[in-house]
Amino acid sequence: MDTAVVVILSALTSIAILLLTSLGLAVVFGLMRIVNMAHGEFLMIGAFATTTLVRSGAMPLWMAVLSAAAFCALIGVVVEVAFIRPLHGRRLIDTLLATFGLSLVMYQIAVDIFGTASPGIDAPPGWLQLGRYSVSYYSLALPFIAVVVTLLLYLLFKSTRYGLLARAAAQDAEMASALGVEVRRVNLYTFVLGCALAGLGGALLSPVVAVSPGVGQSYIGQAFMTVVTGGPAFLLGTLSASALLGGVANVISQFSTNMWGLTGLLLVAAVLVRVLPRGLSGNWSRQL
Amino acid sequence: MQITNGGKGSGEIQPESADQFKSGRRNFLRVAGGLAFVRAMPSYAVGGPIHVASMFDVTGGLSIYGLPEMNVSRMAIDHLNKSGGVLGRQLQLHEFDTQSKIELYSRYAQEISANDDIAVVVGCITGASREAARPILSKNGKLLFFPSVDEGGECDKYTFMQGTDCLQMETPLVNWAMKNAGKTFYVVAADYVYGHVATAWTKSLVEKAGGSIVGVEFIPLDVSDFGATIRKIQTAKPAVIMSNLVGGNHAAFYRQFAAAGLNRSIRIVSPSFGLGNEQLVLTPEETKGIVVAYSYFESLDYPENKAFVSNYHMAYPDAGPLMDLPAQVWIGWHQWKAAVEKAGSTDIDKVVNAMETGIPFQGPSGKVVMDPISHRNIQDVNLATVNAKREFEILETQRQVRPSATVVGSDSCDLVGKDKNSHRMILPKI
Repeated sequence: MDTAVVVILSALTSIAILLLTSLGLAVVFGLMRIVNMAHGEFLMIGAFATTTLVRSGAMPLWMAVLSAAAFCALIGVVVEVAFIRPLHGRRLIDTLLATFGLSLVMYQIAVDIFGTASPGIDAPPGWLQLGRYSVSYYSLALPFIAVVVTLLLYLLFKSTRYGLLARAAAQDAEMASALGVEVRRVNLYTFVLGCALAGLGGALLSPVVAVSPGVGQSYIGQAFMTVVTGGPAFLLGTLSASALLGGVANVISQFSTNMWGLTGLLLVAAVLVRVLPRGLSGNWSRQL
Repeated sequence: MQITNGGKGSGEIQPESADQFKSGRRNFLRVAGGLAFVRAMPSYAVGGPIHVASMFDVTGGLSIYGLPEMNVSRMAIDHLNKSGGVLGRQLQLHEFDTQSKIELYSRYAQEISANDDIAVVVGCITGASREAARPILSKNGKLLFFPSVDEGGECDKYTFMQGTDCLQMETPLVNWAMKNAGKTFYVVAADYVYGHVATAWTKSLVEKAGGSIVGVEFIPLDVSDFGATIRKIQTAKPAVIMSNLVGGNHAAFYRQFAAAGLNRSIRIVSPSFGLGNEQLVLTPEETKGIVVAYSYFESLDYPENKAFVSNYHMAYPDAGPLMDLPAQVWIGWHQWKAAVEKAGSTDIDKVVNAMETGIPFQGPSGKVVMDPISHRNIQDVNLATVNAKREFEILETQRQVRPSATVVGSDSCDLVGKDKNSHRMILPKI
């Protein structure tokens, strides 16, 4: 009995990690169709910002997490204006190359600032005892945070004027522009939102992983896979894909090995894209 | 005699004018005179510097190890040059940044092989990178010093290993754990050749010591979510965890292990923790109680080590603490120097013979002696644990631990006997 509960909780944590590391990409790539190869570096910046703020004693973890997201948003403004805007409307490959180059530069800057082994922060103390098992409170909190963030995003895109304009600008920029939407500004907001979400994801992960300049690179592949298998409904699709892929990977890892867990994740993603080329949400009527 | 010979020799060049003929002869005389002078000197003074090379991953994912190793390589060459060079000649270091890409090891090994001047390579980090470079280098008669902790099994007349092997590190760890923690072991290991061989050693050593293995799990290098592994460990309830984990992602294991409160009841021993300065990345609360085994620690109390540490931190003030790998780079260069001076030449076979005589070297890790059979160093191994200042504190020292000449469950190597012409790696049967 305790085993079943712990397996489920552990799977929920894996799903939350996948979701939190994918949401930023869901907005930037899922909605805006910008192939952001620097997504992993935004995760990394969010994580480093958090560890730096917490370690300097400037603020508690939750405040550092929000500040890290804000910091990534600021960097997002610069990146959008300098690299993304000039390439707007061009081929996917142009933004791919630009952001890939950017990711290399960001990585090296992080190496120069933080070195290769910089002190991290530990998770807030405490664990829940469940029979034979103990589960850290922080890993229990991650799924809640992930759900709250996704809900807030859903409301933002569903019920606010910005959300409507953002979807319009992404769907048909020319038509939106003709109807009086300031597409450039709306796109800037959306890109910055994506960067802030990536920063938030990295920030929330920082107490459970070892933060290093390469930390984002181990997530970017899975993030792209999640968003692609999620399909056109960039929010709920990504949520479903995270639940499926993260759940499969964790549960297989529980009863077999981590290697088979990863293999299972890749297999499910490959089969899904073959069977449902437009992604999990390909046939849904909703677009969020 | 010389002058007439010189005249004939220059005459054969068929000069275009008398002037050129003259100056040609004059130059020849100057060169010939120079040669006569050179011949009077000991032969090793011929030519300029001795060219040597290092290949390390200064950038990319493995830069955590490669950057300090290249720094120490540079520092060692500088030090040798300032103290008179080798055979009275200065050394010139060729640095190759392999960028954490295996294919660059093969490419640079080809480049080094094509360069007749390069006498020795001190380089490579992972076993995989060594196996990309080593066959090319040894086929082309280039000497390789491999300064890494590794799984063993290398059996190449032209390769010398400075780092400890699995047997040297795991024996003291298993014995310590059996005495101080308990008899049930759970093994978590990186899912590549090092992790598998290390785990085979762990199994054999634990069984020999009378303990039991209650679980083994191999973790791919890009995994950083250990939820499932931690749940399985709690089911198996071991007294000791042997961690053969490697790299930045795997450092998350110790963090998640501590977050679930497991470090109160289960001891972690590891022959790989700390190589990438994991003790800095993690907090002292998370690393409390982890026991590691290496031949080198910054806190060792030898005068050679104090000088080494202070020079390093003077040259690289922003660098973290020195770990085993960079110290082995330093030892490698000095062992090579001693062998070349004993051989009186950089000729590969003479240097190999000199190395195999086992010239003792007193370095930062204390005394090391090359074992001719395995081409590995006989050296001290220290057990240590992390203190509240994120430094390693030495628990106990085992003197002059011998390396293994066999690969667990597989073949053995004898580079002065049956394998004296071998250039191979013994693969484990797992």
